[in-house]
Parts: sequence; structure tokens; C-alpha cells
Amino acid sequence: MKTVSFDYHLKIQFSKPVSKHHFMVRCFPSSDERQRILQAEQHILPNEFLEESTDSFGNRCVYGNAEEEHDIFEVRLQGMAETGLSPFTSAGHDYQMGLFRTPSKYTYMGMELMELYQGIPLKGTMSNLEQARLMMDVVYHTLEYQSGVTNINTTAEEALECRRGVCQDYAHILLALCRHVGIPCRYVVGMLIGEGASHAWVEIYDNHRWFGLDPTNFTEVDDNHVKLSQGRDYQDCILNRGMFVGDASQEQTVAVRVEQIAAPNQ
Amino acid sequence: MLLTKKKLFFIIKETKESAKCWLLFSDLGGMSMAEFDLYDRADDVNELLARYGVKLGIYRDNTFKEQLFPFDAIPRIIDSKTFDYLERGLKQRVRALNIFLKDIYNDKKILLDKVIPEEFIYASSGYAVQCEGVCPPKDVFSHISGIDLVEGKDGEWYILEDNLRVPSGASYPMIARELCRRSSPRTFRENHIEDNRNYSDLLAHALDYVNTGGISVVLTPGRYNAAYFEHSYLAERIHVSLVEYDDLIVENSHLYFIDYSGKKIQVGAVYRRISDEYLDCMNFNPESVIGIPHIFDVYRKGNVALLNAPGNGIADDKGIYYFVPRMIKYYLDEEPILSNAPTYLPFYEEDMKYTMEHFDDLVWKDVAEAGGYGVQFGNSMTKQQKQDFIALLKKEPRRFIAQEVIDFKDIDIMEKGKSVPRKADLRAFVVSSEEPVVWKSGLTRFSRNPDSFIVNSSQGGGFKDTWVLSQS
Repeated sequence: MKTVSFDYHLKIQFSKPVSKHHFMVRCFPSSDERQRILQAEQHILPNEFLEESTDSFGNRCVYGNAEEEHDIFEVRLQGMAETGLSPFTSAGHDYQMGLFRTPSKYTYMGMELMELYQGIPLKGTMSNLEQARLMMDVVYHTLEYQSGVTNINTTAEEALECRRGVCQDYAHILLALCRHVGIPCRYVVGMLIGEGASHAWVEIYDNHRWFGLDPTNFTEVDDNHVKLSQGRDYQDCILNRGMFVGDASQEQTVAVRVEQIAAPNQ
Repeated sequence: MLLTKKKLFFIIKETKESAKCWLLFSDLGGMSMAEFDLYDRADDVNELLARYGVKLGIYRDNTFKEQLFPFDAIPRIIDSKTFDYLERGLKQRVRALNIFLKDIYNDKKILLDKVIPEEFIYASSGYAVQCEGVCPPKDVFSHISGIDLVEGKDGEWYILEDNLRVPSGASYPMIARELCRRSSPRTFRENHIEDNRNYSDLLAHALDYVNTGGISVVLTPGRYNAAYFEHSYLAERIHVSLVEYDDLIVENSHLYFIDYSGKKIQVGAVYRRISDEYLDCMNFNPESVIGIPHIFDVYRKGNVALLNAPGNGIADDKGIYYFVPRMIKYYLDEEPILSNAPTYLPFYEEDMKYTMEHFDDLVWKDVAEAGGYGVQFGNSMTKQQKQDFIALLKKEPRRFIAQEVIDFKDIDIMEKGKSVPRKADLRAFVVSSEEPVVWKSGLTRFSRNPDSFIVNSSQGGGFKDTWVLSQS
């Protein structure tokens, strides 16, 4: 268990002013059995009109509209959390997990994935989590971490073809393999101590519980991880969706800082 | 059918000059239809329909063309006993489908009990993940259901398709009846034909029933939509504003209509004639510019009703169709009153075996397609086509269903002064509020091509009025 401070900063710089900017932001952590949000402050600019809602996956969203001209869009989230309170979170029944068992847009099995899968010595007696751990091992040792090779539209199959990728690709490949053997699993976006950008990992359904696995770092999800959102794949966890009027190009930067802070005296 | 010679109803025009003067002959004796030159009269009605703008838009080769939806003057006649039977069957079906929608997006009991395999839900293009956990106002999902039926030569009625997303077509028999009624009041005074003018009341009530506070509106994608005539006609009939995307905005978790003076008026119910995909670029297709950003969030919070509910596509999926009779038993503990056309799912091994053995006798449908597209007859494929099709089928068995070709009962239409038989189906409209109500009319569509079984209006057919006879 750790107490951490976090600072998430998303910034979009437009080349020219834009207006009638509708947006939907999905990067607000919630408390669950694994993490407790002790304090959180959010700043969104422009903030002419902001509303909150919760999506189908239980993610907190803030949506809004900026009618007036602006050339910067910013979301900043600062706070403190207790992490690693439990190795799992509770989940529903197996029959309600079909959504997470069915291949999604990013996790379709192609030839490459099939070949990778066939080389994994899975046994029928293994639990979901045991199988997933074994597959994580294979994914970690098959891929080489390199940014700039894949992008946000790269599917699991495509990433595997080039044998290189980032956390999003590691997560998608592990999801594809797990779903292929019928294990419900979901994509998670979050923050990690020592990581300067947002991070992605996987949760595995095992006997009414969700367990986190981080295939990029070949580790179980622990008190270094702060979860922001969850879904079937990248698409369900898009941090920011926007539509605006204006002939402008945009540059998006995300800066994340998570640090352990000294536990307060009991 | 109580369609005896003595009871044949025909509408004919008295004089050429007064196109609006119609007479009804309830006893034609030995005369044939051709002698009344009905074809010519139908032209006059069509002219009036054209004047009223009763058109149908079609996209072909990327250009938008509006074409008339040809009206045929010979009505389809359904006797009251037959209608009672259809009514019971349709209500039952719509009730089950509505419960299914609530279940599938919430508890999923039907999956627990393995009545439907889960891959038919989650791999379907009709399933909308955004609707997980959402219950619409008063739990009504399918406010307006368009159920397509055919009558077989054996006199049995079969359900061909359920349309629970944005079914269109009610306006056509409405206006055709209106024109015929105006032209020949006697026809409708002297014969026991159920009045179909109550459709607007049914629709208005369906909107009122689920309205969460505020006005109701009809949302159209605009005049370049295939059913724009219907959008404007229905809005006028139910006395609500016809709006486009830029007339509506989301504020304070509510939806508002901005009127001509700039005043904001809260909207409690939207009869939206725009598909889920384009409804809200923040929650559905991000490319859509004809929707209302954030409207789905307002709906999710229960602050506006959308008719029909988003996500309904999962219930009228051609793959799910196979399971509707099972749904009726499962949810209602009743035997289905109306039958499906005999359907096979190659997904199941035994069905695959059967369909391979009877390939040529079956009609094949791609579950992802609609509007008469993606329909192929086994016996009309070339050897190569068949080979390719089977390869695809083996690869994606879930994507196709196969149906026995039903020998429809033909209905006469007038063509070049003669009555000729054509294939026709019936779209029945079920409007749901407290209870589902079956409209005592419907849209009868026929195929222009004598050899075609495809009656979909996107493919150039015409329509007829549907008369339901009241008890005499």
C-alpha cells in the first residue's frame, strides 16, 4: 500500500482559434477496493459549460461545450490516492461478462496472433489468472518496447506483426489472446509511478474478481498503479473526444506525474 | 380472407374532369376490373400524391434522387377475424422484444439461461455498448415497431422481419387513405373499413407517455433523407415541431429547442428519425455532424425520452430474429401466436448440414445488411458465386441466416390497364405506450418486377392501402 500524489495534465494547442468546441473527457479516477481517492481537484478550460456523467463501463466523464473562440484546451487533475489496498476488485457473474469475452475492434485474432497463441503451453486445469499470467510472459518476451512504430489505430494483430509497440499494444495483444481462450478481460487506462504519460494495462476476470496485469512491465498491477478508466479496448477509454468549428491543426500533449508521498503518521 | 366476389370493393373515378370524385361499387356482378380502367384512376391518385410531395429519396451512385412511391389503387383487405389474430400475435411479439431489450442491456438473464448464445449479442452490429445499464423512461424501448409479415399461399401468416430502430412507412397509407377518403367519402361511409386516422393519436400518446417534461419534437436529418416526406407529414399530424440538429442544444443536463426568437424551450421527448450512429458524435460515430452532441448523456440521465430507444438494433438483427419465438416462450411463458418464416442458423452444426444439403432451395441473408440488400437466392447464384459464398459462410457462419422461400400469396395490382399478380408484404405498425397497440391499417408494399420477391421500397416497388374490415 502506498499513498501517492498525482498530477495529470492534458493540453491541446490549436494553431488557430476554434469555437463551438464540444468535448468529452474521461480521465477521472474513482475509488474502488484497490484504490481510494483521498482528494482530487479538476480544472478544465474553457469551462463555459461543464457536466458530469458516467458511461457504460462506470467511467466518470466530464463533457461540455465552449462556444467562444479559444486556442488552448486544458484538463488538469491533481490529487492524492491510496493505492494497492487490494489485489483485486469485485466483478459480476460470468454470464454477464460476454462483453469482455468477445473480440473487439482492436483485438481480432489474425494469423500472427494465432501463431503466437499456438506456441503457448496452456493447460485446461489452469485458472483464468494462471493462463493470463503465462500469456503475459509470452507477450512481454515477444514484443520490444519502442514508441513511434505503432499509433492509436494499431490493432493487436498489426502490432504483433512488427514485434514492437507501446503499452497500448502490449495490452491489446494480451486481451486478444485471453479472449481467444474465453477469458473475460478489459483494457485499463491509468497512471504509473515514474511514468511521464498515461499508461495502459489489462484486467483479467477470475471467479467474480478482476485482477490487474501490466504486460508492458511484466508485473501484476500493484500500488504503483492509479486507475483512470476501463473498457473493452482503447476505443472505450479515449481520454478526450472533441469536435469544433475552425480550420485549425491541433497538438495534444499529456504530462503525468505520480509520486509516492510519505505516509502520514498514524 | 372474406374476399368473395360480392364483397369486392373498387374505387373508380366517375368522370375524367373531376379527379376527386370517386364512387364505390360493392357489387360488381360479372364485370372485370379492367373494364373500369382502374389503372388510369390510379394515375390520378399518384398525381395528387406527387403534388403533396409523397416521395422517396434514394441514393444511387452517390447521387440523391427523389422518386415517387407509386400507389396502387387496389387495397389489401384484411377481414376482422384475421386482423384479430394478427393483432394478438403482434402484441405478443412486441411485448417480448421489449422485455428482451431491457434484459440484454441490464440483467442478461436470457444469457444465463442459455436461450441465446452470447456471441449473437456482442458480435452483432446492432448491439450498442453505450446502452449498457440504461433503462429508457417507463421502460419502453420500442415505441414504434414495424413488423413485416407475408401471407403464404397456404393462408398462414409469417413474420419476415422486425424493425425496431426507425421503421418508416406509416405516412404512406395515411395520406393515400386521406386522399381516397376526400375523393370518395361514400366508400368509407358505406363500407365497414376501420378508420386509420388514429395513427397520429397513437403516436402523439406514445410521445406524451414517455415525455420527461417539456415539449416533444420530431428530429429529421433533413430533406435529403429518404423518408423526409414522412418526417414532415408526421410532425404536422401530431402537432409538434420538425427540427434538425441545429435547433436543439444540450445544457444543464437537459435538452432544449431554440425557437425562431432564440428562446430555449425544454424538450422531453424526441421522435428521432436518425439512426443511433449519427445521433451524438460524443457517444456514437465521432464523424457525425447531423446529431446533437451530448444528447445521449441527457438520455442516460433520464432527462429526455428518445423514440425509439438507442440500442434497439440488437433486437431486430436478422440473427436474433431466429430466437424471437424462443424469447416469447422464455419471457412470457406463452406459445408464439405468429410464426417466423422457417429459418436456419448455419452457426449450429445441424443447421449448417441442412442448409448445405438444401442450398438451392433457400434464401440467404447477410445479417449485417438491411433494405433488401444482402439477400441472395441459392438457386440464382452462379457456380463461382456459390463457391465464394460457401467459403465465406464457412469462415463466418454467424453472419448468415438461411430461410425457406415462402410462396407468398400474390396480390393484384393494376398495370397497363390489366390486373396482374405481384408479390406483396405487409408492414404492420405497433405503437407502444402503456400497452402495445396495433394500428388497424399498415403499409402493403409490392414488387414491380413479376419475378422478384423483394418488396423493399428502396428497390423500386410501390405501395397499397391496407383496409382492415370492422365487424359488420
